[in-house]
Amino acid sequence: MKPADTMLLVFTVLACLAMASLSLLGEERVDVYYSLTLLAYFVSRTLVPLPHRGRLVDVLEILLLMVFGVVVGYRVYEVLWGEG
Amino acid sequence: MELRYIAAGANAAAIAVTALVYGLLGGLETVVGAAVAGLTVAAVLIAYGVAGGEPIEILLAGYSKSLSEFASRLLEDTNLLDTKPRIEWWMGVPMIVWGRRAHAPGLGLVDGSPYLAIPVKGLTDALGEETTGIEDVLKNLGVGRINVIREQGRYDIEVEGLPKIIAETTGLPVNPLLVAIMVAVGLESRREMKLSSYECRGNSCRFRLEEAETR
Repeated sequence: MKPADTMLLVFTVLACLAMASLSLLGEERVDVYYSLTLLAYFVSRTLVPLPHRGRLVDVLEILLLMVFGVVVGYRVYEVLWGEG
Repeated sequence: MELRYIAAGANAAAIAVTALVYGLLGGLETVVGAAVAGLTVAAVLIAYGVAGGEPIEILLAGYSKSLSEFASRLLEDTNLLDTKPRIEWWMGVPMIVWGRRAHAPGLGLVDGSPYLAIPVKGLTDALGEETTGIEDVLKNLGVGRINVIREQGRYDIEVEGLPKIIAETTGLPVNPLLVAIMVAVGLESRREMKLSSYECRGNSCRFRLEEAETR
Protein backbone atom coordinates (compact mmCIF):
# COMPACT_ATOMS: atom_id res chain seq x y z
CA MET A 1 0.00 0.00 0.00
CA LYS A 2 1.34 3.43 -0.94
CA PRO A 3 1.87 5.96 1.88
CA ALA A 4 -0.80 8.25 0.40
CA ASP A 5 -3.28 5.34 0.38
CA THR A 6 -2.50 4.63 4.03
CA MET A 7 -2.83 8.28 5.01
CA LEU A 8 -6.16 8.72 3.23
CA LEU A 9 -7.46 5.45 4.68
CA VAL A 10 -6.48 6.50 8.23
CA PHE A 11 -8.05 9.92 7.65
CA THR A 12 -11.31 8.52 6.26
CA VAL A 13 -11.62 5.98 9.09
CA LEU A 14 -10.92 8.62 11.77
CA ALA A 15 -13.34 11.10 10.15
CA CYS A 16 -16.08 8.45 9.89
CA LEU A 17 -15.55 7.45 13.54
CA ALA A 18 -15.77 11.09 14.63
CA MET A 19 -18.85 11.65 12.48
CA ALA A 20 -20.61 8.53 13.79
CA SER A 21 -19.73 9.29 17.42
CA LEU A 22 -21.00 12.88 17.21
CA SER A 23 -24.21 11.81 15.44
CA LEU A 24 -24.88 9.13 18.07
CA LEU A 25 -24.30 11.69 20.82
CA GLY A 26 -26.86 13.92 19.11
CA GLU A 27 -24.37 16.76 18.59
CA GLU A 28 -26.05 19.54 16.58
CA ARG A 29 -23.23 22.10 16.22
CA VAL A 30 -21.95 21.92 12.64
CA ASP A 31 -18.59 23.45 13.56
CA VAL A 32 -17.84 20.56 15.93
CA TYR A 33 -18.19 18.08 13.06
CA TYR A 34 -15.94 20.22 10.89
CA SER A 35 -13.31 20.75 13.60
CA LEU A 36 -13.07 17.05 14.42
CA THR A 37 -12.76 16.14 10.73
CA LEU A 38 -9.98 18.67 10.36
CA LEU A 39 -8.30 17.29 13.46
CA ALA A 40 -8.58 13.78 11.95
CA TYR A 41 -6.88 15.07 8.80
CA PHE A 42 -3.90 16.60 10.59
CA VAL A 43 -3.58 13.59 12.92
CA SER A 44 -3.45 11.34 9.83
CA ARG A 45 -0.85 13.60 8.21
CA THR A 46 1.28 13.33 11.35
CA LEU A 47 0.84 9.56 11.71
CA VAL A 48 1.67 8.89 8.04
CA PRO A 49 4.17 11.52 6.88
CA LEU A 50 4.10 12.14 3.14
CA PRO A 51 6.46 13.98 0.81
CA HIS A 52 5.26 17.39 -0.39
CA ARG A 53 2.19 16.82 -2.58
CA GLY A 54 2.09 20.05 -4.54
CA ARG A 55 0.48 23.46 -4.38
CA LEU A 56 -3.14 22.30 -4.57
CA VAL A 57 -2.88 20.36 -1.31
CA ASP A 58 -1.12 23.34 0.32
CA VAL A 59 -3.95 25.65 -0.81
CA LEU A 60 -6.57 23.19 0.48
CA GLU A 61 -4.86 22.94 3.87
CA ILE A 62 -4.65 26.73 4.17
CA LEU A 63 -8.33 27.04 3.23
CA LEU A 64 -9.36 24.38 5.75
CA LEU A 65 -7.33 26.12 8.47
CA MET A 66 -8.83 29.51 7.55
CA VAL A 67 -12.35 28.10 7.89
CA PHE A 68 -11.28 26.58 11.22
CA GLY A 69 -9.97 30.01 12.30
CA VAL A 70 -13.30 31.60 11.42
CA VAL A 71 -15.15 28.92 13.42
CA VAL A 72 -12.89 29.43 16.45
CA GLY A 73 -13.20 33.22 16.11
CA TYR A 74 -16.97 32.96 16.03
CA ARG A 75 -16.99 30.77 19.13
CA VAL A 76 -14.70 33.18 21.00
CA TYR A 77 -16.91 36.09 19.96
CA GLU A 78 -19.97 34.17 21.15
CA VAL A 79 -18.40 33.45 24.56
CA LEU A 80 -17.17 37.02 25.09
CA TRP A 81 -19.98 39.07 23.65
CA GLY A 82 -22.73 36.76 22.52
CA GLU A 83 -26.18 36.23 24.00
CA GLY A 84 -25.84 39.04 26.51
CA MET B 1 -3.54 12.53 -11.38
CA GLU B 2 -4.93 9.62 -9.34
CA LEU B 3 -8.36 8.85 -10.74
CA ARG B 4 -9.34 6.46 -7.95
CA TYR B 5 -8.98 9.21 -5.32
CA ILE B 6 -11.00 11.58 -7.50
CA ALA B 7 -13.71 8.94 -7.99
CA ALA B 8 -13.87 8.26 -4.24
CA GLY B 9 -13.96 12.01 -3.53
CA ALA B 10 -16.72 12.60 -6.10
CA ASN B 11 -18.81 9.82 -4.54
CA ALA B 12 -18.30 11.24 -1.06
CA ALA B 13 -19.18 14.73 -2.34
CA ALA B 14 -22.39 13.49 -4.03
CA ILE B 15 -23.54 11.75 -0.84
CA ALA B 16 -22.54 14.73 1.33
CA VAL B 17 -24.38 17.25 -0.89
CA THR B 18 -27.53 15.09 -0.85
CA ALA B 19 -27.31 14.81 2.95
CA LEU B 20 -26.68 18.56 3.22
CA VAL B 21 -29.76 19.44 1.17
CA TYR B 22 -31.86 16.95 3.12
CA GLY B 23 -30.53 18.26 6.45
CA LEU B 24 -31.10 21.91 5.52
CA LEU B 25 -34.62 21.30 4.21
CA GLY B 26 -35.56 19.19 7.20
CA GLY B 27 -33.82 21.41 9.74
CA LEU B 28 -31.73 18.44 10.91
CA GLU B 29 -28.54 19.92 12.38
CA THR B 30 -26.97 16.50 12.98
CA VAL B 31 -27.33 15.57 9.29
CA VAL B 32 -25.92 18.97 8.22
CA GLY B 33 -22.91 18.44 10.50
CA ALA B 34 -22.23 14.97 9.10
CA ALA B 35 -22.63 16.36 5.57
CA VAL B 36 -20.07 19.11 6.24
CA ALA B 37 -17.64 16.49 7.55
CA GLY B 38 -18.32 14.41 4.43
CA LEU B 39 -17.64 17.40 2.19
CA THR B 40 -14.33 17.97 3.97
CA VAL B 41 -13.33 14.34 3.36
CA ALA B 42 -14.40 14.68 -0.29
CA ALA B 43 -12.35 17.88 -0.73
CA VAL B 44 -9.24 16.18 0.67
CA LEU B 45 -9.68 13.10 -1.56
CA ILE B 46 -10.21 15.20 -4.68
CA ALA B 47 -7.22 17.46 -3.88
CA TYR B 48 -4.95 14.43 -3.42
CA GLY B 49 -6.33 12.92 -6.63
CA VAL B 50 -5.73 16.05 -8.70
CA ALA B 51 -2.32 16.65 -7.08
CA GLY B 52 -1.09 13.46 -8.79
CA GLY B 53 0.98 10.43 -7.94
CA GLU B 54 3.82 9.94 -5.54
CA PRO B 55 6.66 12.42 -6.26
CA ILE B 56 9.13 9.52 -6.39
CA GLU B 57 7.01 7.79 -9.05
CA ILE B 58 6.91 10.96 -11.14
CA LEU B 59 10.71 11.22 -10.89
CA LEU B 60 11.25 7.54 -11.76
CA ALA B 61 8.83 7.71 -14.70
CA GLY B 62 10.77 10.65 -16.17
CA TYR B 63 14.08 8.92 -15.48
CA SER B 64 12.88 5.70 -17.11
CA LYS B 65 11.65 7.58 -20.19
CA SER B 66 14.98 9.41 -20.54
CA LEU B 67 16.92 6.13 -20.25
CA SER B 68 14.65 4.46 -22.82
CA GLU B 69 15.29 7.27 -25.27
CA PHE B 70 19.03 7.09 -24.61
CA ALA B 71 19.17 3.29 -25.06
CA SER B 72 17.06 3.55 -28.23
CA ARG B 73 19.48 6.13 -29.63
CA LEU B 74 22.38 3.79 -28.84
CA LEU B 75 20.69 0.99 -30.81
CA GLU B 76 20.15 3.36 -33.71
CA ASP B 77 23.79 4.54 -33.72
CA THR B 78 25.16 0.99 -33.58
CA ASN B 79 22.84 -0.30 -36.34
CA LEU B 80 21.18 -2.73 -33.93
CA LEU B 81 17.66 -1.45 -34.44
CA ASP B 82 16.67 -4.44 -36.57
CA THR B 83 17.99 -7.05 -34.16
CA LYS B 84 15.66 -8.77 -31.72
CA PRO B 85 16.51 -8.59 -28.02
CA ARG B 86 17.25 -11.68 -25.94
CA ILE B 87 17.48 -12.30 -22.25
CA GLU B 88 20.80 -13.91 -21.36
CA TRP B 89 22.65 -14.70 -18.16
CA TRP B 90 26.21 -13.54 -17.65
CA MET B 91 27.87 -14.78 -14.42
CA GLY B 92 24.44 -15.09 -12.85
CA VAL B 93 23.46 -11.57 -13.95
CA PRO B 94 20.45 -11.44 -16.28
CA MET B 95 20.88 -9.09 -19.22
CA ILE B 96 18.76 -7.96 -22.14
CA VAL B 97 20.98 -8.17 -25.21
CA TRP B 98 20.69 -6.72 -28.69
CA GLY B 99 23.14 -8.01 -31.29
CA ARG B 100 25.73 -10.77 -30.86
CA ARG B 101 26.06 -12.86 -27.73
CA ALA B 102 27.37 -10.44 -25.11
CA HIS B 103 30.69 -10.88 -23.32
CA ALA B 104 29.82 -8.45 -20.56
CA PRO B 105 27.15 -5.87 -19.73
CA GLY B 106 27.30 -2.61 -21.66
CA LEU B 107 28.13 -1.66 -25.20
CA GLY B 108 30.78 -3.86 -26.81
CA LEU B 109 32.10 -5.64 -29.85
CA VAL B 110 32.33 -9.35 -30.64
CA ASP B 111 34.25 -10.18 -33.82
CA GLY B 112 33.70 -6.63 -35.02
CA SER B 113 29.92 -6.77 -34.47
CA PRO B 114 28.43 -4.50 -31.84
CA TYR B 115 26.12 -5.56 -29.06
CA LEU B 116 24.22 -3.74 -26.34
CA ALA B 117 23.65 -5.64 -23.09
CA ILE B 118 21.55 -4.03 -20.36
CA PRO B 119 21.94 -5.77 -17.00
CA VAL B 120 18.59 -6.05 -15.23
CA LYS B 121 19.55 -7.71 -11.96
CA GLY B 122 17.88 -4.97 -9.89
CA LEU B 123 14.66 -5.50 -11.79
CA THR B 124 14.72 -9.30 -11.60
CA ASP B 125 15.46 -9.13 -7.87
CA ALA B 126 12.55 -6.74 -7.31
CA LEU B 127 10.09 -8.63 -9.54
CA GLY B 128 11.23 -12.06 -8.37
CA GLU B 129 10.52 -11.19 -4.75
CA GLU B 130 7.01 -9.92 -5.30
CA THR B 131 5.64 -11.94 -8.17
CA THR B 132 5.11 -15.51 -9.21
CA GLY B 133 4.53 -15.16 -12.95
CA ILE B 134 4.20 -12.99 -16.05
CA GLU B 135 0.60 -12.11 -15.22
CA ASP B 136 1.66 -10.81 -11.78
CA VAL B 137 4.35 -8.58 -13.26
CA LEU B 138 1.92 -7.09 -15.77
CA LYS B 139 -0.85 -6.66 -13.20
CA ASN B 140 1.57 -4.72 -10.99
CA LEU B 141 2.26 -2.42 -13.94
CA GLY B 142 -1.46 -1.61 -14.06
CA VAL B 143 -2.16 -3.40 -17.36
CA GLY B 144 -5.92 -3.87 -17.94
CA ARG B 145 -6.22 -7.19 -19.81
CA ILE B 146 -3.51 -9.83 -20.03
CA ASN B 147 -3.49 -13.01 -22.08
CA VAL B 148 -0.50 -15.34 -21.93
CA ILE B 149 -0.29 -18.49 -24.02
CA ARG B 150 2.53 -20.85 -23.06
CA GLU B 151 3.58 -23.46 -25.56
CA GLN B 152 6.73 -25.55 -25.57
CA GLY B 153 9.48 -22.96 -25.38
CA ARG B 154 7.22 -20.21 -26.72
CA TYR B 155 5.26 -17.41 -25.05
CA ASP B 156 2.53 -15.40 -26.79
CA ILE B 157 1.56 -12.41 -24.70
CA GLU B 158 -1.23 -9.95 -25.42
CA VAL B 159 -1.81 -6.89 -23.26
CA GLU B 160 -4.55 -4.30 -23.50
CA GLY B 161 -5.43 -1.19 -21.53
CA LEU B 162 -1.88 -0.05 -20.86
CA PRO B 163 -1.50 2.85 -18.41
CA LYS B 164 -0.81 6.12 -20.25
CA ILE B 165 2.70 6.43 -18.84
CA ILE B 166 3.66 3.01 -20.30
CA ALA B 167 1.73 3.43 -23.57
CA GLU B 168 3.69 6.64 -24.27
CA THR B 169 6.99 4.72 -24.55
CA THR B 170 5.92 1.57 -26.43
CA GLY B 171 7.04 3.16 -29.72
CA LEU B 172 10.68 3.15 -28.55
CA PRO B 173 12.83 0.07 -29.31
CA VAL B 174 13.82 -0.06 -25.64
CA ASN B 175 10.91 0.63 -23.35
CA PRO B 176 9.80 -0.31 -19.83
CA LEU B 177 7.02 -2.67 -20.99
CA LEU B 178 9.34 -4.63 -23.28
CA VAL B 179 11.99 -4.86 -20.57
CA ALA B 180 9.43 -5.92 -17.94
CA ILE B 181 7.99 -8.62 -20.23
CA MET B 182 11.42 -9.98 -21.14
CA VAL B 183 12.43 -10.06 -17.48
CA ALA B 184 9.15 -11.71 -16.47
CA VAL B 185 9.49 -14.39 -19.17
CA GLY B 186 13.16 -14.91 -18.26
CA LEU B 187 12.25 -15.31 -14.60
CA GLU B 188 9.46 -17.76 -15.32
CA SER B 189 11.24 -19.89 -17.91
CA ARG B 190 14.75 -19.59 -16.40
CA ARG B 191 16.02 -19.91 -19.99
CA GLU B 192 17.56 -17.66 -22.58
CA MET B 193 14.62 -16.25 -24.47
CA LYS B 194 14.47 -14.21 -27.66
CA LEU B 195 11.80 -11.73 -28.71
CA SER B 196 10.62 -12.94 -32.11
CA SER B 197 7.83 -10.43 -32.71
CA TYR B 198 6.55 -7.28 -31.11
CA GLU B 199 3.62 -5.16 -32.22
CA CYS B 200 1.89 -2.24 -30.51
CA ARG B 201 -1.25 -0.36 -31.51
CA GLY B 202 -2.61 2.37 -29.30
CA ASN B 203 -2.57 1.02 -25.80
CA SER B 204 -2.45 -2.67 -26.66
CA CYS B 205 0.58 -4.81 -27.56
CA ARG B 206 1.44 -8.34 -28.68
CA PHE B 207 4.70 -10.12 -27.94
CA ARG B 208 6.07 -13.47 -28.99
CA LEU B 209 9.13 -14.85 -27.23
CA GLU B 210 10.90 -18.06 -28.12
CA GLU B 211 13.70 -20.00 -26.60
CA ALA B 212 16.98 -18.63 -27.97
CA GLU B 213 19.37 -20.98 -29.71
CA THR B 214 22.37 -21.57 -27.47
CA ARG B 215 25.57 -20.85 -29.27
